Amino acid sequence: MNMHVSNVGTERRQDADLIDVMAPPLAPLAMPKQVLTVQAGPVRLALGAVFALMALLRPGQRRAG
Amino acid sequence: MSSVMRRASVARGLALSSSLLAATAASLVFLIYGATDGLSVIDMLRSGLILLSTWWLAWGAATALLGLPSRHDAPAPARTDGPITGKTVVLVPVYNEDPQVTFARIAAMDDSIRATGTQARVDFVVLSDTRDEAIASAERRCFAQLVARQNGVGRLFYRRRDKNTGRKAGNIEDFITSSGAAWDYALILDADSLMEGETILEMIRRIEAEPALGLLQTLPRVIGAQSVFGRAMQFAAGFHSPVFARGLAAMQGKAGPFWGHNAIVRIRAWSESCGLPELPGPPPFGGHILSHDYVEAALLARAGWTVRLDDDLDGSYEEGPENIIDHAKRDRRWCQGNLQHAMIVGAPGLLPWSRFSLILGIFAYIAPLIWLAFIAASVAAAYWGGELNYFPVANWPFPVFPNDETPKAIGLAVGVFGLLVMPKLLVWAEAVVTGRAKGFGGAGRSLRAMLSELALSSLIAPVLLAFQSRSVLQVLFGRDGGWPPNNRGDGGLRFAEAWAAGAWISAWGLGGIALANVLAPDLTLWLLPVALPMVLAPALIWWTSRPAATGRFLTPEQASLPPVVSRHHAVLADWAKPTKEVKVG
Repeated sequence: MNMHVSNVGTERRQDADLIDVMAPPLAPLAMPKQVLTVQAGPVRLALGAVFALMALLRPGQRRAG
Repeated sequence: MSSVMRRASVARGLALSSSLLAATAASLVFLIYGATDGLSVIDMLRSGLILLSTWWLAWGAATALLGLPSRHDAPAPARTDGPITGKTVVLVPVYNEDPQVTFARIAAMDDSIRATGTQARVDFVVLSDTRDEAIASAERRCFAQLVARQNGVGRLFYRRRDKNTGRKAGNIEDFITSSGAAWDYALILDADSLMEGETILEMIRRIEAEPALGLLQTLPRVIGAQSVFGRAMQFAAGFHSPVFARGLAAMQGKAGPFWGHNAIVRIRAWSESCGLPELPGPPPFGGHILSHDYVEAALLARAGWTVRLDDDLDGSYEEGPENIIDHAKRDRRWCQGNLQHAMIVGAPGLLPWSRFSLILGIFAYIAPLIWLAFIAASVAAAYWGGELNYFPVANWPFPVFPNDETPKAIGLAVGVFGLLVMPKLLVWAEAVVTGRAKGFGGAGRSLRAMLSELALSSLIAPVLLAFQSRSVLQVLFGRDGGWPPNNRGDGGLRFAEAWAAGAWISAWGLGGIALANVLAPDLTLWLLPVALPMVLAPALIWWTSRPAATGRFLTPEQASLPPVVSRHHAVLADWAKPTKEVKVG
């Protein structure tokens, strides 16, 4: 393929053709997301539920809800 | 326990115990000194702050001491001697960079690899995250030029993402998930990275020889600096970093560092272990992980892969910031990224050393605040501390003089100063003994350069401390710093620019002097080494961005250009000539 690559007047279309040719090959690889945050155990989940309920009992929270 | 882990355990134990010992001693001496006029809460607070900041200094000194002996007693890394069978891709992520300069580096590295006569398959992929359409268009033009010059169809590739989700880590992840299976190893670079072909091949040989090796990191040398600031940093990196890196390597075991570039990874290990999730919550602590490299190293180690820094690998280069403003901008990004690691340090399954490395990264940015807190507490102590009572016993006619603890106070100051200076002097002695100093102009010239760099870094330290403290506070108050592109080039600043960036530091310096003068006049003189450079911040920022005299802060790479750097210059000169038509393919 012949291309003009002077500093001015390069054809965008030709650029696009070239990029299509020059894209890396498709060869997918799975990359599973890693676990970085500590998962809540039963105690933490139970405490969370208690605090959520207590928050709902506050007058301000009831109005907002 | 393997011999690698045994050696690492001994080194870690030595560094930890000696630094803790030094910190505890400093803290106790300070406590005794403070107790001469009665022990107060503020004395105990200051003693705690001394403990933390001395530990940080002592840790650096211990790392240097561990790195002083040469590595000849370490076992030589395994390497394949036969033909290289694995396929390697060199990844060049770009984000609004000058495409001609960047792609000329690819040409230089490709030439350097081919000059070795290797039959190994080493391809290059430009991973563009460029947002600026004009630069993206120039990237396409320059890429055509690059492919034509290198006859690179089928070896050189380019792709641009529509959205730069996840920034550099997301850019690489996008490539791995779409094309990663086509190669065995990926050499991850930055846009300003340069590596000799021989070095690249040696890294491939080493990773190919050790199936458990997931990542191999080199120590990049800083090159191309022009300004006073850039040259001083370049000298410091070239002169001191090899010793510190050797100390770090002695402690790494199987959980070494990854600095984000100039490192080769096993693609299978990477794809299995390094898919980074978004952290819960909004930035700056939530969202995409900014300092992804530390986390990726920790994740590889968690999955059982070895992550290793091989400090003996030469021929690995990068560029550094040319002025204090660019340094501060980069540091702001790193600061947010490292503080974000507070959300990750408790991640399940990480190796203890990986957690410790994450904590060290956080501490690097907290340390300036600890020093500032110590200064503030000292002013407060002088303000609230009462006059000495020479007649503490009622109806006793003779004065009671407090114990003279002055020698201990002087000893403490000398000790803290020694932790800062002693490692550098020892590194100089090592450089002279091993002959390394020759590359820096010889024993005398390297000593002068080292002392000049020490003086300059001491002068600008309060300015950098101010920028760093502001960064930490901004992050703690929830301000996201974003992802500004790096500035390259000579980095010269006009005084107005320096003033705009540093006037607030002047104001804080002046305010500090005024406040100390009112609250604790006796301390004003002691605060001047910190406060005066702050007052002069705009002038320092401007002056250090000026071009350095030729030969000042000489480094081996300056004295004799590395082959790949010469190739880079030649390609750029070649491309500067007007071109009419290029045949591709």
